[in-house]
Amino acid sequence: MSVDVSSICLSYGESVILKDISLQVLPGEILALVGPNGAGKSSLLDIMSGNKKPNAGEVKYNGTPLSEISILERSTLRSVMGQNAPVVYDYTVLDILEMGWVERNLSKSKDGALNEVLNIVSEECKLKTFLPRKFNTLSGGEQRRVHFARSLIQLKNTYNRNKSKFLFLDEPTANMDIYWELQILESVKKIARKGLGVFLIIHDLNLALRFADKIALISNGKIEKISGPETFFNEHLFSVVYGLKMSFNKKLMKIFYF
Amino acid sequence: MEKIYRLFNLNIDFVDGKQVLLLLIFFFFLVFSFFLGVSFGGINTSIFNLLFVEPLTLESQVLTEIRIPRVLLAGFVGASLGLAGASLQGLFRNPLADPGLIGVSAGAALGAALAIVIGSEIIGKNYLGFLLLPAAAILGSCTVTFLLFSLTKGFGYRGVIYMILVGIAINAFATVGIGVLTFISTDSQLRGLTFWTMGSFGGANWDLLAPAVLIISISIFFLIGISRKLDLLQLGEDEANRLGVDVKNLKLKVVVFSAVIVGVSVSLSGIIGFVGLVIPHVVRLLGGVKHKYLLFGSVLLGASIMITADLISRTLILPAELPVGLVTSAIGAPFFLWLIFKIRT
Repeated sequence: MSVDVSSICLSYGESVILKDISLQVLPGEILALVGPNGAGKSSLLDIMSGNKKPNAGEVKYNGTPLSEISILERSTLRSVMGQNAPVVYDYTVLDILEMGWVERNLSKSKDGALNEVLNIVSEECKLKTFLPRKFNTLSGGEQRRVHFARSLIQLKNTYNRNKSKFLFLDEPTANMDIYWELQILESVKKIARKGLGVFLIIHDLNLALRFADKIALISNGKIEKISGPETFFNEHLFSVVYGLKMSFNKKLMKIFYF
Repeated sequence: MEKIYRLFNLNIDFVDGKQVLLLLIFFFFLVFSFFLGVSFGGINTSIFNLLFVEPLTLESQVLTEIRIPRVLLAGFVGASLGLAGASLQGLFRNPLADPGLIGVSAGAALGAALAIVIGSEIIGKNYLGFLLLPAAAILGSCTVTFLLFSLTKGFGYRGVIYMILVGIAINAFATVGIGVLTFISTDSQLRGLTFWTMGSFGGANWDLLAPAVLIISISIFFLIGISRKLDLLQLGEDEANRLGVDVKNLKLKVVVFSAVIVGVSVSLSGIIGFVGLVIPHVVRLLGGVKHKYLLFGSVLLGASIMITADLISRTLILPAELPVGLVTSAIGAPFFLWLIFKIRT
């Protein structure tokens, strides 16, 4: 039971975006993906979530190839918090949250699922007072929080309960203040420990070291390294990939760059 | 997975009490305008006469042969223009989308004009000839829609301004086409053409009405059935896909059904601007943006506004008749302005 990415290649005409990418997202684990802008992180996420088709290679959810899972069923197995487009019309925050709810109607859901959902909204994301507000009047960071809650709510659907479920996050903490940056990653870790598989794209190397179980470094469409946080840093490799002088303090588990 | 599909498709469970109330008000407004519409005109009468007066009097004939078909036609055209506007605004994620603005109505009118001028031989003689006009109009609106679809690479979000520019170009092209057809047409064809470009419900009769009512009713139910998916689409195409919506399929369905109802409407009544653009905004400003409410509301309000506008157009300067498009713009524009200022302040 896992998300398996094997030998994915993607190119547009001459330009190669992804070269032979293989990785595995396991239930109960956070796999972080780091790398410079334009390295292919979001393209990989698009392929893993089924928005893009690769030129070669395959993605499997729990052993079944993605191409054999219907669009609707995919939505019950994994949720994605992407980098969202603006919402044109004046939906309320509650409307946006309900969009993640596959059963459609939060107020009519049965068997305790509603309580779990409300718990996410009020405890994890502190959105209770936001519910009747217009989504468009929130700040960028607050909007991200709503989208985060929505992607968690999506996984609370009652379908495919016996299968492993997965959460894909594309820079979830962009535009968030430092309090919420840590808070959101703490909730991700908590949920992962309950058996969810998490794939996390993030820029901050130190946050990746602190929260991820495994980290992958991608550069120019190629995975350069996958390992646990302790053995992740390699001075030469990182300096080349990021074009910066870098060093690692093992005791603090922190990377410094100049 | 059957169960989820059912849950996705059937969503008539209104949660918001205010929206239910508004829909009820729209509905009563519709019933009220229907009774007003059939009662007043060149001959004032009442629908209840049908029940009590013997059927062969002049009054009851006016009712069954002229008044009722006309009011029904106005209602269905208003409903489909409102619904098409609301669906297209949702699909394009653009509040400016409107069957008129993006050239769909013009395409339908060009199709109808071609049928009038070139196909006038067939219309008169063939048994099914009366269907040529609606068919040509639907074909015209579908052609424009698919042209837009391919030129904007599937209605991409970034292509919205581009799409409206393309729509303006198509509008201009259709105007040229209708102009050329006007120039080469005979006198009797010209009368028919003028009718399309001005917009009127004067040509209503049961033969034309029956297929139109059927097509429009089916489309209304279908479009309202996919309103939840239109909501999800507001998060962006990729996001909607991740939430379980087959976006390609959704776009195709919305576009085809909107084109069909606009085509049918234009073939029966000519181009009536403004309704498709403004009705959804009024419905949104009054009660919210969720599509199940918005689509229902646009159907009901579109129908009642159109019946009222038609009533005004044929009673204001008796015995003459104003083009109904003039009336819709004249009452709609100031009302819309007032509404915007009221809500924003």
